[in-house]
Amino acid sequence: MFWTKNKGDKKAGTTIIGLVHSGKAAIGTDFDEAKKQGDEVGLVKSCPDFLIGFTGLCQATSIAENFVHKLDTREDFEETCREICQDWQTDEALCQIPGKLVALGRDCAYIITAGKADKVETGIVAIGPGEEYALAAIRAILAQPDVAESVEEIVKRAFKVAAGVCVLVNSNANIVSLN
Amino acid sequence: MNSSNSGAFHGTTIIGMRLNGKAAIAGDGQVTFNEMVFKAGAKKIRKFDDFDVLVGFAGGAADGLALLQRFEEKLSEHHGNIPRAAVELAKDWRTDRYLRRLEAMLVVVSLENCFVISGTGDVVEPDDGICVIGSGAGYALAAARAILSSKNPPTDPAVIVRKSLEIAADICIYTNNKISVISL
Repeated sequence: MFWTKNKGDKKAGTTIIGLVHSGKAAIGTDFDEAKKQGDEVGLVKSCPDFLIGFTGLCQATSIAENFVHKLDTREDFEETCREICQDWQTDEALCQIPGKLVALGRDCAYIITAGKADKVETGIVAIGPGEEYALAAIRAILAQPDVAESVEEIVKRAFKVAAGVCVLVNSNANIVSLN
Repeated sequence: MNSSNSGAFHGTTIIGMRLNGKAAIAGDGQVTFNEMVFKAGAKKIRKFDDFDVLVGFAGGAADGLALLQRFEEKLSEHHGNIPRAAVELAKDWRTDRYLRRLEAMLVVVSLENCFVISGTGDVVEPDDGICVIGSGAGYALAAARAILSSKNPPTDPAVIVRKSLEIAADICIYTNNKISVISL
């Protein structure tokens, strides 16, 4: 083995990378219908004031749509994120569904699972098999002295790097942004 | 190195890089024993002055030093021919049945070559001149590649390896921020 990664926790599936930086946000997924493994899907969606990413079983896509609808109709973004995670844990139908939801506003980022809504202070969210590499890549890019690129380009580059390091990541990402 | 050998010293990140006719290696200083930080300022990288070679090791300390010493012996045997010394070292593991598996890995960087050598007898020369080993290897590799893919990347490999290791130290709990860098 080249480096230590416990084979046991290898997560096959979709990678989602999102970034909130200086009032702008972008999110992307490497999900490819033609190459999908198992039942997992990844989707990203752009709404007027926020971005949503979801990975999980394909039966659960309707749930993601529900979340989007809920976020769309509420005023307070952060409050809604917390509400969603509670619903996900307590609602009988929803709690059966594994998956992860990412919600990006203009100045905050959340990773939401059943019963847990984590605010990501750095604004860099990455979930799925290439998460660590994407995280390291974005940190490295942002640490460069002159970052002239748009958040969308940074996310795109992070996918390229993650795909170069991890075989489970596909470098053709579908990216949406909030300007 | 492998987290399954509980009780062994493990966790470290070493990154070596060859770029624009220069070479640099960086290592962190943390020695971890199970869940305990045993030492924070260890030196895991060396320079073999006689041969202009930079080396770093990760894994068991005694095994790492044994591997270093064997590599140095092979280097003098083959008059500083690094690829030859690396392959001969790996060959020893195959043919000498008294040599045990050493739970350590080496990074070897010179101006012309760079190799990752493991105590189980693997020799790998990375395509892009970036050698990484240890628990934070993936993070350091991703960071270094991200830096290199930017529009005006630093030309000095010492700057890149230090920055990459800082990022790996921020993410990996077995890697700390006491970074030492040696360059050629």
